[in-house]
Amino acid sequence: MTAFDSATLGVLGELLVNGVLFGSMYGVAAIGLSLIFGTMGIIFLAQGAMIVLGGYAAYWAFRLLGLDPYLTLVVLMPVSLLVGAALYQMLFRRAAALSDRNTTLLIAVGLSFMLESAMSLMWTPDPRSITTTYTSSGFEIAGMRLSVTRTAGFLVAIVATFVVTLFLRRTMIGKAVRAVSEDMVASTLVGISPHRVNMVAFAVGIALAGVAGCTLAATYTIDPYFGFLLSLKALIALALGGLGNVGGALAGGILLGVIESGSSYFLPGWGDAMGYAAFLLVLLFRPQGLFVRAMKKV
Amino acid sequence: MKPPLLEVRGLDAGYGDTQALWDVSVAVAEGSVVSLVGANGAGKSTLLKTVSGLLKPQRGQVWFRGRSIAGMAPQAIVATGLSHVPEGRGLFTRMTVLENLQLGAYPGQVRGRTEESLARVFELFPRLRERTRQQAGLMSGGEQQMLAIGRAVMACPSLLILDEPSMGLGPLVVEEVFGLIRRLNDSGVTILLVEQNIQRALQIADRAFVLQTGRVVMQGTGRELLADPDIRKAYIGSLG
Amino acid sequence: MAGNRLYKSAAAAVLALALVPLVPGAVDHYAFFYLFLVFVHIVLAQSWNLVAGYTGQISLAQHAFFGVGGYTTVLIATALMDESGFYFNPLLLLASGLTAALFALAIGYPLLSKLAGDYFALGTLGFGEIIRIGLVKGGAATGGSAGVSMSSEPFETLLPHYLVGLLLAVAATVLVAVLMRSRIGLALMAIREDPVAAAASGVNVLRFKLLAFAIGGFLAGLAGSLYAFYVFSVSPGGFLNLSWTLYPILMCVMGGNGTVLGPVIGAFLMTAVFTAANIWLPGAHPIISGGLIIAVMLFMPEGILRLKAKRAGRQPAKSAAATPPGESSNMQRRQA
Repeated sequence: MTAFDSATLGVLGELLVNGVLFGSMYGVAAIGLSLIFGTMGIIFLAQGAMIVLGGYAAYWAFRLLGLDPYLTLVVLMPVSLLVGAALYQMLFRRAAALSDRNTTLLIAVGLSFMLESAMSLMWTPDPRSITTTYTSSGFEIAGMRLSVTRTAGFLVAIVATFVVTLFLRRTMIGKAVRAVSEDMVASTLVGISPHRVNMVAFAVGIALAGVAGCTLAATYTIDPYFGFLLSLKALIALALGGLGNVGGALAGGILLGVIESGSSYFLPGWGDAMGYAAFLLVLLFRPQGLFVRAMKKV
Repeated sequence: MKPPLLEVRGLDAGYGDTQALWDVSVAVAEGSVVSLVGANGAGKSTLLKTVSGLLKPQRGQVWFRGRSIAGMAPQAIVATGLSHVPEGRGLFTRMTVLENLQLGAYPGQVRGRTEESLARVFELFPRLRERTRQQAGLMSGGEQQMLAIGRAVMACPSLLILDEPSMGLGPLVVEEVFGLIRRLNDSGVTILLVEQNIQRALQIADRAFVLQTGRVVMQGTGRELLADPDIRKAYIGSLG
Repeated sequence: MAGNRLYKSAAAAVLALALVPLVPGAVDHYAFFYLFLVFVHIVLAQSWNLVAGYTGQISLAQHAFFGVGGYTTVLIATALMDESGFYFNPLLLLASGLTAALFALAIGYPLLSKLAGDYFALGTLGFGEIIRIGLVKGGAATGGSAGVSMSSEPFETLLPHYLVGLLLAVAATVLVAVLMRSRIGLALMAIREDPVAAAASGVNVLRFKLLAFAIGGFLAGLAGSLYAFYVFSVSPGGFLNLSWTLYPILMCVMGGNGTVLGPVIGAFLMTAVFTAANIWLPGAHPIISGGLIIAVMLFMPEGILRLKAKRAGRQPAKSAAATPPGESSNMQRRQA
């Protein structure tokens, strides 16, 4: 192989890996969305805004207290679980019972508006980023240069996926979440309380948004209006992965990351559009998976 | 005489503005098998759903073990010892046999006894023991029915409600299922049964109620009704 | 009949509105602008009302058609600036509406033939974004992210906008009213309630859905054109902003989804709230709108008109009430 070939390979490899690393964050957001959609049928368009909020938490913790964002992440967990539970009780509990698409969609959108505007008022629309001692450092693997923060973000995503999978498979509440996602009526007949399960699912979804937010703040820049775009990306990740499970959502996110990474290199500026195009193609030709709720048995 | 385990009095129920049951009264004695029979659309499933809490009654009372359960949420009713196996079985097809059974013991009161209940269920349904890791959706109809009943039994119910247990099953399997119902009853579980297969339903019943367009039109012991000429003509279609 | 009385008062209101410009000083008053905005919103709201309220397809792309209408108007107007230059060239309005309708057909066909419910809504969202990106990337042709402006020369006051707006708002509402009472309307409502049954009764579901979607796109394009004539420019950020989809949804739902006058009432109310918020608390405007959306959805999801109908003892057209447990009412899956 000539030096040229290995260099191109290196570039491509780097693109791929970067895509994977960044996409894993979309994946985490998508897992949250899938939990919320699976149990309650709510397309939670405010997920992006919650992610940005989490990012701001990491930012301010860093600015004011010098806390490393990954440390903030750990501290944020219980807080976001509570916030998620509270949001569910206040906003979605009644609507989830009625399972009316308009209502839940609009509530999520209303929440998104309020959050974005509130964040903009409180903290100005200026973009923020966190610069720690290791933010610009990287390391080399197989001729590719990888950033520490992105790799850390990826590892966090893997851990988060693992934890959520354990939760769903090994705990009773987790199994109840899966049961309600498949068939709410049958779940009540075995004694599961759907509202309680919904609340748990929602709380975990918001906690995942917090995780994604912290890694985002460490890796990238955030501003109050980034949320909506993030929500869309998470939705696309969900649709792409669509494999009906947590790993699928992560995979979808990674795939989106790769698509975007590739397109921004070969067709600069069209990254987003490629993502939407992929989204539409999947919706039109392979929409199964997470979006298919319980197949009713005869 | 002991009060009935389950008693329904003067029940009106339906879906939204459509009424399906008028002034229905039914009693289920403890330890017995009670069958509900009637044509399609007569309201049998509606009655079961109202008892188990899936539907709210419009009027009337439902008493279980001396407590009024009318209007309670299904998950609360399960905790009182009443389990409902719905039409279509309501299995979690994407989960394994074991997971389905474990979820059967979800209510707090019975969760501590999960291992015990599992042992009991495997004793009653040996075939399930071999298939604990199999995905519920991939099993045969008969096995699914067993699993559905097994899951309901995991909650240690005093009253087991079965909606069309023989639906979609071949005659040999139906035989098995009814044998199972008999065994469950012998072990002390009271059974309330809705069944299209009138012959079987009446054969196994200690007491039976006939529903027609939402009303109870006849009741008696299983044997009495089996012998009744009107019933035979209308539902069984055999002569004499 | 209560319905008749409602329509009579509506007609009287239209007459009154038409006469407003005669009031001295009216044309320059802020309220005049408010009313114009209401008219734009009414046309947009009826667009969504038709597609979602009556046909049951939740579209999140109305803002894209709105934008397409606006772009068509401004681009053609700047190209032909020397020629026309008289008030509100109706052909231009029509052309904008038709272009938007064409876009609607183009994206409606693949989406409607394969998707329903959530899938469809997300698909419209995706296409809407693609259209937006296309316009941003359009370079010289579409003015990129800055957009295109046109001369405001022939227009000295808001009067022509007001009158055309009133005309369009009335026309849109009447269109929806007439359509809904026709065979087409019956077919659409049947599709909303139970697409499978509708198909079984011989209704060509796809064709009707497309028709509703295209007309919806047409109306949204008209609204966009009207608005472009007001701001004398068009830009991706200003026009293809999701708010232009969300506000009409809010207005329809608040006023009463699937009714003729619901969107009108919703438009009047919501526009009032938003303009008031904009005047007195400009930065906080989205907080108020967001909060309002949430409040309406939590406490009045059926809309005002339905609330009134319920109290009068009449049946709401789409009762969120009971479906037998185990069956889903609003959950539509992929079409077979």
